[in-house]
Amino acid sequence: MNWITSLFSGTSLAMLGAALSCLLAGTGSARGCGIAGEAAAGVLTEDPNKFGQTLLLQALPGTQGIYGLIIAFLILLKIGIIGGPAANLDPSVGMRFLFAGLTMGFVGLTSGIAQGRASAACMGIIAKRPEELGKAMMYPALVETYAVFALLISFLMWMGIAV
Amino acid sequence: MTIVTMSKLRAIVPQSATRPLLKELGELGCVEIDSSADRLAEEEWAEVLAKYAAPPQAEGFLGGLASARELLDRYAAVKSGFLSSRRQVTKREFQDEAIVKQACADADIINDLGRQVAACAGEEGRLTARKASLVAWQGLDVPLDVKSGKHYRILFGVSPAGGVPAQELVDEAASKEAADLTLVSSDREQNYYLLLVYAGLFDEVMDALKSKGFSVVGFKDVEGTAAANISLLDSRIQEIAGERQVIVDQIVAMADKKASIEMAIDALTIESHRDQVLSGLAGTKKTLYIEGWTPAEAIGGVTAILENYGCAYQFEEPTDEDEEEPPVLLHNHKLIQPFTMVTELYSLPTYKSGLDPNPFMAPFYFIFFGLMMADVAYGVIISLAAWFILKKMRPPEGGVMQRLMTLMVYCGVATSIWGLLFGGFFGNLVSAVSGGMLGHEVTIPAILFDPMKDPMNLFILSLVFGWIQLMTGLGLNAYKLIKHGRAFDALCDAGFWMILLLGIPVTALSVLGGSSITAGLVVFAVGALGIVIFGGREKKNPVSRLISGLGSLYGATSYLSDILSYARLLALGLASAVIAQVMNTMGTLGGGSVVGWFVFLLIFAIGHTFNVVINILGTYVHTSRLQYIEFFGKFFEPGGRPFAPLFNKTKYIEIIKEGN
Repeated sequence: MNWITSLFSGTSLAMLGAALSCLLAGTGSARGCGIAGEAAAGVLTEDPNKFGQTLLLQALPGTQGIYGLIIAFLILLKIGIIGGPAANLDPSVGMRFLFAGLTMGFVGLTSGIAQGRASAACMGIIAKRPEELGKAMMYPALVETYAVFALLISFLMWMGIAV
Repeated sequence: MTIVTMSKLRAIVPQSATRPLLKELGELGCVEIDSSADRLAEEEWAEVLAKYAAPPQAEGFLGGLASARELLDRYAAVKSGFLSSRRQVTKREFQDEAIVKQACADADIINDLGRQVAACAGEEGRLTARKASLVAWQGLDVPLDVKSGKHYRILFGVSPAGGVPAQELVDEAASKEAADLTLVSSDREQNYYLLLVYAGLFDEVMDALKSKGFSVVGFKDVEGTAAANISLLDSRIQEIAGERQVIVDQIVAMADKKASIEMAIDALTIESHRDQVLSGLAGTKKTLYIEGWTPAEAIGGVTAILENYGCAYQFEEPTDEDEEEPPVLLHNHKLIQPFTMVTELYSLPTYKSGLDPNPFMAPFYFIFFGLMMADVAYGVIISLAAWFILKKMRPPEGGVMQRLMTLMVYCGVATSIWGLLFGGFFGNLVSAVSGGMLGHEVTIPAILFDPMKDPMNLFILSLVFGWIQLMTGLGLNAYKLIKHGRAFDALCDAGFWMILLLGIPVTALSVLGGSSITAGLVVFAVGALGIVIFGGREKKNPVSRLISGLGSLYGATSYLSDILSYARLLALGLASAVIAQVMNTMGTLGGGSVVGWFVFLLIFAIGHTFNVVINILGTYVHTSRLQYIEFFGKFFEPGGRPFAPLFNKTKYIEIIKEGN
C-alpha cells in the first residue's frame, strides 16, 4: 500500500494541480487558437494583407494557456519544485493546491475552445469589413472574462494556502 | 466638449458653378451634402426637379492609374521601410492639373508596357509547354516528321506508365515477324516508343499492341529531330525573355513617376467623390438643388462661398420635433480627443440625446488602463513606442491611427503612474535580480500598496472605481433626462438607483467604523421603496403597478453583477504583474554566473516583450468593455450617424501649407 500513500502525498497532489492547470488550460488554448487559425487561413487566401488583423483575433484564445501556465508555475514555486528545497507537504495542503489548479485548468479548457469559436466566426467580419476590427475583437473578449475570473480565484486560493 | 450643433443647409446653385463650388466646399471640409434621391421620390418635388445627369469624369482614369501603380510596385518596388509616412506636397502642386494630366499619360504608357510584358509571358508559356511535350523524344535521332514508305510503316506511340510494362509491349512486337518496337524513354506518366512495322502486318501488330495500352501520337508543324526542335525553342524562349526584360527595364525606368501617379490618384479620388455627390443631386435645366448639413459655427465660411457663386440658400436649426436625425460631429478638448476613437468603435451618440460621453469616459479609461498594466517600465515602453510611430508615420490628424497612437501615449503615462503607486518595474525585477543573482535583496517600496501582497486592497479599490463609474453613468442619465424636461423620470429611473447604490458605501463605512448600520439600511430602504413605487408608474392598475415596481427592484442584481465585473481590474492587474514575476523568476534561476546572466538577459528580453504585447491587447479590450457594457449601458444612446463632409481625404500624400 506504499504506492497509494506516495500517490496521495501532498507534493504529488500539488503537482497534479499544477499539471492540470497547465494541461487543461493549454489544451483549451491550443484548440481555440487552432479553430481560429483555420478560419484565418481562409480569410488570408482572399486577401494576404489581412494577416495582422487575423493574427490578432487568433491570438485572443491564446491567453488561457498563459493563465494556466502562471498558476502552474506559482504552485511549483510555492511547493519548492522550482527554486527548492522541496517542502514536505501534508496531503490536505496538496489537495488545496489541486483545487486551485483545477479552477484555472477547467475554465481555461472550456473558455479557450469557446473563445476560439467566437474568434473564428469573427474572422468573417475581418473578411468583409476589416474596418470593424474593434467590434470583432469584443465578441471573443467577452468569453475571456470568465478565464480572467478563474485566474483571479485560482490566484486568491494560491495566496491563501500556507505551506 | 459636446456634440456640435448642426444647421440644415438648403441651396439652389447655378449649374455651371456647381463643380468649383463643391471644390471650395471640399477644401473647407465642413459641409455634408446629402443625396436628393428621397426628395425625388416625393411627388411635389419630382414635378419641379429631375435627377441631375452628371457626366462622370474622374472615375475612368482611376483604374488606369491604380493598375500603373501596381505595375510599378511589382517591377520597381522601393523598400519603403516598416513605418512609412505620406509624401508631403504643397497645395499648389496638388491642384496642378498639368501634373495630373502628365501622370495619366505616364500611366497609359506604363499600362501599355505592362500589357506587352503579359503578352511576352504568354508566348513564353506557350513555347515552354511545347518544349515540355518534346522532351520525352529528345534521345531519338529519327526526325519527328519521318514519312512511312510503301512497304513499311513508321510511327510514334505511347502507353500509360501504370499499365502493362513497356518490356511486354516490346516483346510482343518482337514476337511478330516483321515488327520492331523501340522504347525511347519513360517518365512518370507514359512510356514513349518508336514503331517500325511491315505494311502488310500493320493491322495485326497494332491490334496486339493496342490491347496492351499502346496508342499512336502525331506531331504537327514539326521538322527534324526532337533535340533540334528543343534547341530551337530554347533560343526562341531566350529571345522572348530578353525582349520582356527590355520592356520591364522600361517600366523600371519609369519608377520616378510613381510619386506623381500616387498624387494623381489622390486628386482624382477626391474628384470622383465629388462626381458621386453630383450624381446624387436633382435640379432643373439651369440650377441644382443642394441639401445638407453644416456645423453652426462654420456657417460664416460656407455663406461666403455660396455668396461668391451666386447661390440662393437658407440655414435652419433642427428642432427636436424634426423627423430627420442630423449627423453627429464631436468636438472635444485636445486631451480628450484620442479617447473618442474608443467610443466610435462602439457607436456615436445620437444627435438628439445631446450628450457626448467622451469627456466623462476618458478619465475612467485612463485610470483603468493604467491600473491593469501598472508597471513603470512597461508604461515608458508603451508611450515611447507609440510616440515613435506617431513621429515616423505622421498619420492623418484626427484619423483612427493618429488617435489610437496618441491614446497609447497617454495610456503609457497612466501605466507608469500606477506602476509607481504599486511599486512595479518590469514586475519585481529589482528584488528578483538583487535577491537571486546578486545575493542581497533590495525592493522598491510601493507608494500605495503592493497588489501581489495585498490583493484584497486592490479588489476593494477596483470595486470602488466601479461604484464611482456606475454612479457617474446614472448621473449622466439623470442629466440627460432633466435636459429634455423629464425631471420626474430622472428621479425615478436614475435618482432612486443612485440612492440605493449610495447605501453600499454608507453601510460599508459604518461597518468599518464599528458603528451601527442603521443609516445604511435607511438609505437602502429609501432607494428600494422609490424604485418599487415608481418603477411601474406607467401602469394604471395599482396591483400590476406594484408587481412591475418589484420587478424593477429585481434589476438590483444586474447592478451587483456590474460592480463585481470591475473585479477584472484586479485580475488583469495581477495577470500582468504575475507574468512579469514568472519571467523574472525563470530568468534568475541560473544564478549570478556568466551563463546565468546570459540566460537572464535572453529570458528578460523575450519574456517582457511578450508580456507587454499580450497585456496591451487584454487591457485594451477589457478597459473598452467596461466602458461599453457597464458604463454606456446606463445612459448612452447609440446609433448616431457620423458627419461625412466633402473633404479632401488623401491616401498617399499629405498636403502641407505653402512655405514649409
